[in-house]
Amino acid sequence: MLPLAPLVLAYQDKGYSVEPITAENVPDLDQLQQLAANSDAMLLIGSARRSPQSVLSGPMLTTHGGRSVPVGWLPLVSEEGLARFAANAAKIHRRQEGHQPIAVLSQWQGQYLCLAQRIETLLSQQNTTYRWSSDLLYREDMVKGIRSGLAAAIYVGHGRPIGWVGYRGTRAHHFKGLDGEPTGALFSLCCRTASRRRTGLSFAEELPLLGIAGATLGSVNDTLHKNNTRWAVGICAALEAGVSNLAELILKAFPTEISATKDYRIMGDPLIPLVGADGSIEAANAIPIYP
Amino acid sequence: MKKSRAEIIEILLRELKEMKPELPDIITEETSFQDNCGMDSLALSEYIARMEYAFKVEVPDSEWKSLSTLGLVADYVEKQGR
Repeated sequence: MLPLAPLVLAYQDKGYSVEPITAENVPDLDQLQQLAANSDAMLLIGSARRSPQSVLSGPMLTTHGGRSVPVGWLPLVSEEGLARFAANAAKIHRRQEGHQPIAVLSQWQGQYLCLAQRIETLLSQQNTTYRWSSDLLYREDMVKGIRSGLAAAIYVGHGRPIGWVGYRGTRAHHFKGLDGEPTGALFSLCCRTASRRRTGLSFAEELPLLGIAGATLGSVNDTLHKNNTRWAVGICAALEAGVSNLAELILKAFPTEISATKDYRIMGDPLIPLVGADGSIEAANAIPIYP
Repeated sequence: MKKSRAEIIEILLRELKEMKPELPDIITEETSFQDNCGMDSLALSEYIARMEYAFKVEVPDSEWKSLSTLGLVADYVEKQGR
């Protein structure tokens, strides 16, 4: 539990009650439902041999009492990775509430640019929105933008277990070695970024462990454009309604259609605040775009 | 509480106007999203997703294409008891 200490402390400073539970094996669904009975959110950390698909059945658990509880997953690869995640998540928890800068990312392809534009329009009434679709900037600049300390970023386009197809291919290693602040939550509304198929860790798992985002939302399977649209509409509505953390957003944005939800998983802290870092707007404003 | 047909139409119209503010005010239940509103399949998918979100209903994949006018969407919402 030592690597998680900064995060536990940050929770406690906010008045959250934290109950660490250790177990020999990753609990099965029934056990998780029981454990979730008295919780508002759960973070499950376990052997990296287990994948997001095999551990969880979706971004939320339904308790035996019928309550929905957002649940996040992280594989235990190294104590160093876990410590990096906890330190960055704790930093996000200590941000002053206020502004909510959000990046809209997209592959350079008609249908995705169209959806990105719609997301930008839906969000821009209440939030500071940055349209960083790949027709407007290079991957290097987009990656720097993600390190601005944003509240959230939303990607639409094709996805793979190793990363996004957009920006001529975006992998976790492209984020390494860059100074900056973590993004609150990073949503990949695309196929397979939480899948382990032919990869060690999925892209969606790597980003929280690298300290790039406090949490990610990604799919373990192929997705349909209309399901990603359902998520986009729900996420925009929730952000516009002023949700302050990921769990609130998931509860509000959760599409009613089961096919739209069963493949998605939360990686990282489900209670991560959706708040920008001090100076994030200045840093994001400095990202060059080429309209 | 179950919404009246007029309330359903009002919400559907509001969502439509939010998506396409340039649409004229004269939209009837027979107005076709594709032919009269110029909505392509992407716009339609967003509209149905917004409708699902607004009314907390599920539209199975097989039904999406049949919801081609405001009246048909309202019928669907009524049928779901919303």
